[in-house]
Amino acid sequence: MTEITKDHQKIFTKDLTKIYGIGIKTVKAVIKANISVNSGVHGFLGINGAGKTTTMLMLIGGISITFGTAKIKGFKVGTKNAKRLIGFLPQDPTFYENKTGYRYLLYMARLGGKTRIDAILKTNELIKLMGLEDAKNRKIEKYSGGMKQKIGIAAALIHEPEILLLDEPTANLDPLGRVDLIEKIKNLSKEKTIFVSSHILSEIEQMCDNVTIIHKGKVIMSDTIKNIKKMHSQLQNQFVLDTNSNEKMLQVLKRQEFIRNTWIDNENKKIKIITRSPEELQANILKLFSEANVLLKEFSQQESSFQDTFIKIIEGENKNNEHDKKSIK
Amino acid sequence: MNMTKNQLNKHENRKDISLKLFKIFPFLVLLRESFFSEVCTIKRIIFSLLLMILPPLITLIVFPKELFAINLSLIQSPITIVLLIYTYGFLFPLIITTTISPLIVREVNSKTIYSLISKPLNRIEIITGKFIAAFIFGILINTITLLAIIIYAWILLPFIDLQYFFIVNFIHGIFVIVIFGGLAMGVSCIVKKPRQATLIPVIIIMIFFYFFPSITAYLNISSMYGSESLYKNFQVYQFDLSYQMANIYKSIADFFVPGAISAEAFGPILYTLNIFTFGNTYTCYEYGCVAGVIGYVETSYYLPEISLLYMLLIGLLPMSLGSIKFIKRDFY
Repeated sequence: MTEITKDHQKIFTKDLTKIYGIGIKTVKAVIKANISVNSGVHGFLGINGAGKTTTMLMLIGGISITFGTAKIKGFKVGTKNAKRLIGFLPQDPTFYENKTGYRYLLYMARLGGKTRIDAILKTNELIKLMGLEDAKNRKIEKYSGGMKQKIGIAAALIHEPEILLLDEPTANLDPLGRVDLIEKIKNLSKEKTIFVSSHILSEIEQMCDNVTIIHKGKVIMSDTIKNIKKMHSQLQNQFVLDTNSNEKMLQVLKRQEFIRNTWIDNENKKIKIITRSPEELQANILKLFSEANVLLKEFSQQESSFQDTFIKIIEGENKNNEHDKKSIK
Repeated sequence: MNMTKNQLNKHENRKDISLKLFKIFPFLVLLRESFFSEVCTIKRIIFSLLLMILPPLITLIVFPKELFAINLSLIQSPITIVLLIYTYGFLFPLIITTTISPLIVREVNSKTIYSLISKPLNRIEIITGKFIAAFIFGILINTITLLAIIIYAWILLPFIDLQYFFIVNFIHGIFVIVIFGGLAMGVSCIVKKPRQATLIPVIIIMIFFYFFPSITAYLNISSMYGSESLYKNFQVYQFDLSYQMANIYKSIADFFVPGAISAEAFGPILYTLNIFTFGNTYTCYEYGCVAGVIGYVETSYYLPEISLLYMLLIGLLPMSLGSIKFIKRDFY
């Protein structure tokens, strides 16, 4: 497979840095961020204040770049060519409230460079897609939060951009609205590249294959969710066991040297095992069954959730930062 | 809304050229939208026209017909004084500044600016589009006002010259729009709150076009008794924007109708704008002192061209600075 060059990457940043203020009061919002997005839905994860929105705004040309470069399909961010390729949904989208949803979308389509006929057709199509037919002639000020979010997404899609930048798109939605939107984003990802920021990990896990994690302005990780989970799983030495006599099996397990800790979980009444050596446990488990004279119902390695992994990564990063600070002192 | 694709295609063919233009220049879309949605609202049109038309129209109704007919030209009639002092000296600048000042700051404040900056538009196109929309509105209001005055004057006095009245005031109106529009647009790009954007230009207009002429009139009193006026001695005219605007108006009027704004006809009134000052003194021989003045003379503190440059600088410098600030601004 040929390597995708930086000019062909949908989103490419190198050492992207944003520093607010001058002198002592400088705030480093984004520090040397290297991001590379090619296709599908790419998640942009980070806790509040990590630098997600600042990065997004730099990509649309709303915020100037202090150092580094950022390109959209080879075009420098902020240029007309780059803007033609992107559709943007801000964190808290605001609209011309006295316009109707239909008029607003028509205006956005024309601003995006569409002819009147194309603008009308695309507006009708998106209003249908977003399920806003009944509300299209109502003023936006009378829309609910969910409807506004839908109009915001439609406005981002209206000029048919190749790349969508969605800054916390589910933030203002109720659970049903979230599910609906996630489904829409998944469908859109068949045709478009979507760069979506969020701190709601379950949603990111549902939508994205690849993620970039940003913390305190620094990109600390960029990979597939699967790989990140694998690399950072601290629970790979944790197993779940279920037999016809868990009490009996527990006593046998407690006597083994390679078992660090074992107990019966109160919720599902299954045995939880933390082992010193997963290999040794797997090699000896059959012998232990016959020793305890019990029948096996279930034996599996416990998977860590993406949320656990993310928290571990952030905690690890915080510890590293503290350590760095101490060593400087 | 329920047009078929064929109907829409026909419609598109008819407007092919304009469509291409809109596609090439999205800022024309912004201009049109700003004009119809933000600037040219029905409320604003009615309010602006009432403010602009009423003072000159009342003058035409109230003053005797003969007063307008003396010089057989409307530009040389008392209506010019009303236009110069009230309409172009105060009300029109207020209308222009209050129209333009919220245009940028409101977008930034309400964060609707993201809708614009994420679309293929330069920031300078955003400013230009909105400024041109307001400029067209200003031209429209000015033209309607002048036409209303001309039509009424033509009914009242069909024999007098109306042509130059329209040309002079139309040109002066353009300068007013550029100067005060530029000032308001500059402020709108710099400040952070819509209220500040409206207040700053309005305060400037109130100070320089309302309070300043009231004070400068007193500074000229000494010239009534043969002494040099304080206004001239302290070079107050350097800061007197109402004088500069009146000087521009006078030169435009004189260009089309030489001697249109004469000291004989306009001296007593335009003395307040320092275009004219008191003329030659006469001495009371019995007491050996200055007893009074005869007529008015032109002050000519500034060449009209310099006045125009001065005022354009007042308008366009803030606009340029505001544009630079807006282009470099971070919207977060």
